[in-house]
Amino acid sequence: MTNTTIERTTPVTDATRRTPTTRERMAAGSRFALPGLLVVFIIVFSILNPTTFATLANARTVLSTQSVLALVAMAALLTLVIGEFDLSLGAQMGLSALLLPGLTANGAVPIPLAIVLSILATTLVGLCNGLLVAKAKVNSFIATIGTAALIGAIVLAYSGGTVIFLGVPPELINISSFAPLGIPAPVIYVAVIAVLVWVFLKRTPFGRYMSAVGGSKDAARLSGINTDIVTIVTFMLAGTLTGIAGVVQAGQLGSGNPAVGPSFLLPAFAAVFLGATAYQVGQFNVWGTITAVVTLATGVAGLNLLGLPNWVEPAFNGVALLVAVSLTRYLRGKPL
Amino acid sequence: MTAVDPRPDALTVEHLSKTFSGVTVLNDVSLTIAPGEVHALLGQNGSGKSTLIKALAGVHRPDAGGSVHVAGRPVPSSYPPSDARKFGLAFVHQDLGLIDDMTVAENLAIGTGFERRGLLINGRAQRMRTQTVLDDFGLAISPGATIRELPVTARTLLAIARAFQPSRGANATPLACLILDEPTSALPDNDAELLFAAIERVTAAGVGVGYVTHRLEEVFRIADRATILRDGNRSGTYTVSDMTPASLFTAIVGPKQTDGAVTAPRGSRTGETTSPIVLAAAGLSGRRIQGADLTVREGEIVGVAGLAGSGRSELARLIFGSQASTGGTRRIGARELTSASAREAMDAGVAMVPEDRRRDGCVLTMSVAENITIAKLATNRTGLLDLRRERRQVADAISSFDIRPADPRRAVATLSGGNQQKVVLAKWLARKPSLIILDEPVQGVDVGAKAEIFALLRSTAEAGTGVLVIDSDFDNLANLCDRVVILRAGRIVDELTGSRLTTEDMSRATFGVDDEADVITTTTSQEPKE
Repeated sequence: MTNTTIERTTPVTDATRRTPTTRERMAAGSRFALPGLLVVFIIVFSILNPTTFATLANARTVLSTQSVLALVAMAALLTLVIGEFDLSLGAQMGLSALLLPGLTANGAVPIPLAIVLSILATTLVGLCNGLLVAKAKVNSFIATIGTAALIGAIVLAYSGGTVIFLGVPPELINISSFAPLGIPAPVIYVAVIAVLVWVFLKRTPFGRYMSAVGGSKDAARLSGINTDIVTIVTFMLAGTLTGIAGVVQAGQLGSGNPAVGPSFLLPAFAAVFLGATAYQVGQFNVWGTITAVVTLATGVAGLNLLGLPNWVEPAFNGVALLVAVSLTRYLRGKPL
Repeated sequence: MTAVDPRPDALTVEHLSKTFSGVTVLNDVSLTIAPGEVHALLGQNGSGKSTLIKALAGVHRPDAGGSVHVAGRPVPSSYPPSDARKFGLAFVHQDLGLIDDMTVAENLAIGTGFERRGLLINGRAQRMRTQTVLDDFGLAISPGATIRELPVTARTLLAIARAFQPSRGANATPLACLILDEPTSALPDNDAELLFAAIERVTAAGVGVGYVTHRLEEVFRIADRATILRDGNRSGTYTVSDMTPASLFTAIVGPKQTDGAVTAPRGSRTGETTSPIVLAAAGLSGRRIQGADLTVREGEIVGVAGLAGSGRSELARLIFGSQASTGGTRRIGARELTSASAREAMDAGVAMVPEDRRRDGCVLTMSVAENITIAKLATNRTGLLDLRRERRQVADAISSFDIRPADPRRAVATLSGGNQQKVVLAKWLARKPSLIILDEPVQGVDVGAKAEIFALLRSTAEAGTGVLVIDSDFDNLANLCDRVVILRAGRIVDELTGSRLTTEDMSRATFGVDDEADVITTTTSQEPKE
């Protein structure tokens, strides 16, 4: 018998013909679990810590310290949508955050031009990643480990391994410190970019092509999509976002620290995967990612204010990610 | 075969049936393979050969009531595929099951276990054992070579050697029966003799060989007996030396149907040779396809009939440009296609519904709406998606193609095969193609959806689109097509129209049995088909 008949006779699952099971109902409800958790955190910590947690100042601090992570997470989101990993995102952010103060030191390059150059540098890194993955057909996981190492080398060579602070113009911190209507600038950057990324993914043909490439490269190609271009441009856009993240980071530090960057990589991926358990379950999505960043930061801030030891933070992050992803895996009956 | 053989049969299958959710695909099949015999298993596409082999290999669990004995010992009713060799039963499937990146020695060890010293692999002993096996089959390859470096013939022989090699361990069962599933389909023509020599080495050791093939000349070259399956039934077992190619062919396709019910033609609109040509391919060549000339006219439904491995899907890919051609030209209307690019073909008005729907046809993780519109996205003046127009377009498609459930936001992965295929068709027909190529369009599609899809293709053709359809079920082609070209071993060898457009003529042409008079006068001595 050919496969024809075998396939034809395999039982067809059609969820509409029966009432949803408990698991399916839970799966449907689970998309609001993450924002629900955020609300619970805010209420619980506000009750436990009314004088320190439930203040506007605390909210500002939590949000603005997480803005760099949120931007890197959105860069990771873009590459994950097309089914690729970019493990150089942390290093890219570090490169931009070092270049900006480095270039502006002693007035060598005006700040606006230095910002553009820093972002261009990481976009160029993204182009290299994209070419390696799309044209040289190197597995993205491996290719971007390679570029991350090279960026690390460039950062060390450029900085000499020390913090660049001599001659850095003090106006640099204006990038991140000004606060119109009391809203910290980094929060505004994140909000604007999140909306742009959301429009880009959900409202443009290119965003659709990205989902198609991530879903099935073969089907995308056979539907007339230039999968190479989609891959290359996506890596470049991720580079642009990490460049912006680096600029914000430099504005917060006011100097160039060669050690900053790589430590952002894993939390960024954790936020995207955690975010995929919210709103559109099983899909990497912008608002889930942002919610995940804020929820984790709120939890950690609350625990810190309670005076818990510092190992609680990574433990909390790890447990949150594993529980959320495993639970979603179970509820959906298939991996993310 | 010799008449009296004291040994038990290598394989005895009795009353084996297999039903898939109510549909019987294998019905009460019995057969025996004697020790040292080459026993051919023959049948058309869909006759039940693959199901029989998969049931024996432990992939499918047969229905209750049947029994299988290997070398006289009963085999349990259900077992994992990895256990088959323990009963003395081994298989060489078409994909061979070798691991490309591992060495010859490692691949041989995977079936039977590594030579060990304590917990560690004993490399030297492993190589020595490998060398013994290789020498046994006259294979001049290094035990340390990776499979990837080997030519395809050497891989096939290695797969046979692996199945045949003595098992490690004290209570290991020697090989009693080896089943080969179309082993020559991937081989270069001249290398078949090497394979036959390897098979002789196996049978000389008293192993019974089950040999699945579509090539009748191979049956006469090596087989002692042949069992023929037709529509899931065993239609007979024959001693090959008593048969002629024509009589064997008749046994495979069944007695000639005189009522003509199956082959009711699609209508008398076959002679429209004046319509403009939408596809003109000349001398198109690829890996398997050699010098294919093919034209499709506006409003015409042209079928491609061929056996598995004849190059049907490659022909579709070459025309669409998803595979680079090695020669020849293709024109869509007045436009010549020059590059191996699906985009170029699409811009010229070609659509293709690929064979592997789940991998190539649709993006399973995306919604019905996103799949329908992916090949033709509606945008507004700003370049953003025009979601309102898209919603309307998708709602229209869902109702006119009757896609169920009618939920545009549902992931395509959760739809039935027939509805997935309708989504793929909706995607392509939205582009109003001048030529649509369909590779197995109703594979894995239920009967109702199949009729709907065929009706859709007819009305598409009536609207002026040229349709090129590949289907391994020749009844479908006879039903649907104005004209059918026959593909055999990579070449277009014949074209059937009018009264010759029958399932039987297609079968005969694809098998390459041309002597019609001989076929009709020869009748089988076995029970007639019900």
